[in-house]
Amino acid sequence: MSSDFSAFGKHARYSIPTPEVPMQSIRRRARTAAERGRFGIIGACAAVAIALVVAGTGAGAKLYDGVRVWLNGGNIVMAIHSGVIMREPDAAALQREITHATFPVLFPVGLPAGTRVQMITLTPMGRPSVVSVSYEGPHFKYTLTLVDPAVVDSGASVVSDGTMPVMKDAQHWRIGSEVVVVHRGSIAARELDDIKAAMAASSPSASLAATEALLPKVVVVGGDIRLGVAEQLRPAGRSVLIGKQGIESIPNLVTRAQPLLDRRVWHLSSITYRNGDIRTASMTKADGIAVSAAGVRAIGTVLQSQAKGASRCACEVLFNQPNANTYWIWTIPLQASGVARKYTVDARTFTVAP
Amino acid sequence: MGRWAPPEIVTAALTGDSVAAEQLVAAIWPGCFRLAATVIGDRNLAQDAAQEACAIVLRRIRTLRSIDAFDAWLYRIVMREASRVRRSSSARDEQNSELAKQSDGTMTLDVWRALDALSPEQREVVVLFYFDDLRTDEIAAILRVAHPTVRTRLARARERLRGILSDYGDEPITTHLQVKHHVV
Repeated sequence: MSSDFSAFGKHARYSIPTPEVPMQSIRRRARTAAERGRFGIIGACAAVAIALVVAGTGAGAKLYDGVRVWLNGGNIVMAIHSGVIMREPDAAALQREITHATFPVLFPVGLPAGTRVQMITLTPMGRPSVVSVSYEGPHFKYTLTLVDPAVVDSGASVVSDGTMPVMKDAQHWRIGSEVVVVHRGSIAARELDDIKAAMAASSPSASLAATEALLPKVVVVGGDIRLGVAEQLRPAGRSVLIGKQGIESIPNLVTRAQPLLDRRVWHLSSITYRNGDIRTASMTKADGIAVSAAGVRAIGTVLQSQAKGASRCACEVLFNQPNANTYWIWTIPLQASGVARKYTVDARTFTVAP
Repeated sequence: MGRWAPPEIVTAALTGDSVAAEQLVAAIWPGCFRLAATVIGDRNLAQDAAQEACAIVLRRIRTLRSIDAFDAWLYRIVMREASRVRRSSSARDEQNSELAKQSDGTMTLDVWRALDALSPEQREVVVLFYFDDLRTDEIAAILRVAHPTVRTRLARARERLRGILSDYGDEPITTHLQVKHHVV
């Protein structure tokens, strides 16, 4: 029976008429899924559930300029309309955004050695009253969310009509002019006690300086596996670390004579929700230039000179332009044991010198 | 390797080349659609599952570490999407035998009716084992279930299929299927 069933089953399957490849639909689904994935990052980054506030929710409910937060025991709901996401932000970007905050932001301090800031989210756009900072260390990853008490409804019951997701098992405490929220399971109690104590002894300006020290010292585009090495290698001036995806895009950019864009900052607006997830949102990316078209060509020339070809480099690339006539480019192997190699490229002739 | 698409196309797509990725999707589409249709039993739902699977491939192929992992990776994606679409379809019971309805009316037994008699879990295992010639340990890895679970489902599916045969007297299943084969 088995072999017959197998043979006729295969035949029956191949007899199924197959429609044309719906490539347009597949592309659209891929794009939508990619955006959903990005939005998922926001949720993780904020470490609190976010949702659209429907005006008039509950008798006497307060509405606060696009953001409202419910704290009810260990349950948290945060409702926002818009926000700014900064991945691997630099100090200038952070200072630019934080000066418009509605409260004197006291950043977490007293974090373990080796901690660095991975992402910062500010909501709503323009006048942030909620700031989420995602930290990453050798063996941990957590987010602390700093909230302006003016947008908090601690007495109101958490709205859970199915539209808004509720973050459970959250911990929050008041310090100075802000409320700090963290997911209880993401951080050890002792570590959290250290942070609380350090924050109590700090000030907004001191905590900002301490946070800036945890930000990347180079512009990170598409990868940060060897960020530590890149920060040690970086010369004076602006340096850019380019990861796998950035490297893969180099050949195309060279062909089109286009620059490599810096898209670390995303702006989200008109966020709507359904079934506890983001349904729609408008997203724009701030398109700064990370590496000029000529710089991209220089990187392409260096990568092309390597045995594996332009897009197959198992490395990250550090880029710096010390003067108008020269580019410095380092290839940093992804393996920890790999040794970085520095190349000097003439900005006029694009000749490479190791 | 090469069950779904020529290795050179997979290799090109792995490099992150978006044109190659679309060529890969075009190559795997018929297989994805037919596998989904066989597992779900409905063309419309199979379209949905196959499109979603291809969209995942288009988006994530560059994250795959090795060309050798491609076949199992794609099986997992298609089976997961087929399962998701089947579960989310509230009208499943009515739709499930759509392929059987589309077969000629002269036959009382064909592959689709045999599959429709199985539970969704048994159907998945039977399709992968008999139609795709996968080993039970490979099926366990694709479906992310324990190896003994696959063998149990397969054994129960065989029993069920034998039960169906007995409904048609002593005539062996091959006779029905051969007739069906000629009709097709």
